[in-house]
Amino acid sequence: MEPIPENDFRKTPRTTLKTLYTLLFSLLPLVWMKQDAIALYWRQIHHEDAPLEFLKRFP
Amino acid sequence: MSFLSIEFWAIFPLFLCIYWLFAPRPDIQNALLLLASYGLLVFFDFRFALFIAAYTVLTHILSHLIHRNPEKKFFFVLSITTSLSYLATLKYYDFFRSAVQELFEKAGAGLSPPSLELIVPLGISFYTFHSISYLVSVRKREIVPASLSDYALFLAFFPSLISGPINRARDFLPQIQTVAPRAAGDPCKAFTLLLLALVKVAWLGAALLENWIKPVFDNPLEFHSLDILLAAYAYSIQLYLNFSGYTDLVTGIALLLGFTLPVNFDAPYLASNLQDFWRRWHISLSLFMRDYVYVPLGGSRHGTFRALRNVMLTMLVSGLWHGANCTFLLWGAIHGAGMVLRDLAGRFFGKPLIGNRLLASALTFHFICFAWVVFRCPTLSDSLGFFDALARNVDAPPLRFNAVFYLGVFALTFIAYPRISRLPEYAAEKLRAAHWSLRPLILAPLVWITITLSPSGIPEFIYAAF
Repeated sequence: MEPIPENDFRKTPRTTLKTLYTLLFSLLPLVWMKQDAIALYWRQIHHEDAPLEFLKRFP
Repeated sequence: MSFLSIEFWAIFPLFLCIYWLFAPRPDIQNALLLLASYGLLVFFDFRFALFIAAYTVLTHILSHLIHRNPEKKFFFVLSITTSLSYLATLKYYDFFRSAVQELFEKAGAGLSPPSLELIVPLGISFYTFHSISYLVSVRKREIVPASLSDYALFLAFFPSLISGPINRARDFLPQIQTVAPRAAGDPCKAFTLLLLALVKVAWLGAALLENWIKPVFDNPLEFHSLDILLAAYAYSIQLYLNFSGYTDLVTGIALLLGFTLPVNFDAPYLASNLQDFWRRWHISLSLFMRDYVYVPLGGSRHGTFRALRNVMLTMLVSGLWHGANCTFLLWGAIHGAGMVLRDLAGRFFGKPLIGNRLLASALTFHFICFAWVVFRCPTLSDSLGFFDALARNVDAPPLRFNAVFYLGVFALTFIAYPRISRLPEYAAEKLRAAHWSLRPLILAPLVWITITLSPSGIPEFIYAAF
């Protein structure tokens, strides 16, 4: 394998972490707000409780 | 598993985290992508994975034979024949079998081609075209044969496996073969594309389908002509929203993985003629058809008649590519005939027939819109029934959809379309301008609003069926 260019190696983690942060923190509130719809969908499609049922214990 | 499903978005962020943990090692990232791509196929049906694996190994061997024997055309012809036979057998066998059987019956021959119960592998129309692009590039010495794993990923890369865009080997393989670490390309553009896809497919497209298209296309006789016209417009718009939304979605996903997919749409309903439309609609297919069907047929090199014949043949192949059904063939023929007639008229009069661009765009849109009716209806008699009801139901039954108002909305949208088509770039700019830590605060409410406004259920991707 050829050596990795240093600049790219330094830049990549920063951009990647920001991207993952944006993705995860955009999805998490949605999961919270849409937990009933997700639970209903999961029961209809997979005929079992959604893996997120534990969220119901929180207000 | 749809790319808009809850299951996909439960797994994908986790996959993305693992994938980027290996940022310094693109080879490991490639292995993860290959595993995910085959995993997706197994999720649908494990036989899909077996088919693509066997096809990959076979065409990979053939590509080496082409490369090692540059003086022999035989291996190239053999590999293209193999690819087309694979596609023709699995996708079109039943279609051609019925046609041949009909011919035998008319000729009074007591013969019948054997009936085979074949499954059509997921993504076959796309990965065979990917492989043809690869084989041609190896033959032309634009690339050297890739390693088996790189080639396997080129064919199976999950964002473009099910409905494209159609990747060219010379452009896409270098992205796989890179040894320098990848970067998540322009995350703000990626997130804008994902949001745009949700708006187009899950909200607007699904609402048009549920409220207008499905009721009218299922039973056009029960609707007033204006309602039927509205449904025809709505289908043209929904098809665009659905397919371009799908392309936005997979382009966004690919960007998050550090890949760039080819552009597939460029405001197609702004086209001022059919040639212009095909430069803007499903661009990756249009370019493929131009380079691998139209040009090898002779293109425009041998006079007007041959050029127009080649246009017609290319459009017929393009129509048939969409599915093993006479309606797709007819749809291709309609577009081919439209392009031929326009070309002949241009030659006869020496200038474009319609000088006003807005009028030309409106006429082109209507031609395309009515051709889409043939594309959507399952049989020719259904299409005729639709057009018959459109022509006859002028007085009765009564209007149901407030069609006059919505036709006005469509007309205004059409006029404002050049501005609307610039909105995504504007939205991406705004997102870039926001501090990175605040971006979820912008995106999450917008996604929530879109999901809340969308009809229930996971929307289907129309082109996934092709």
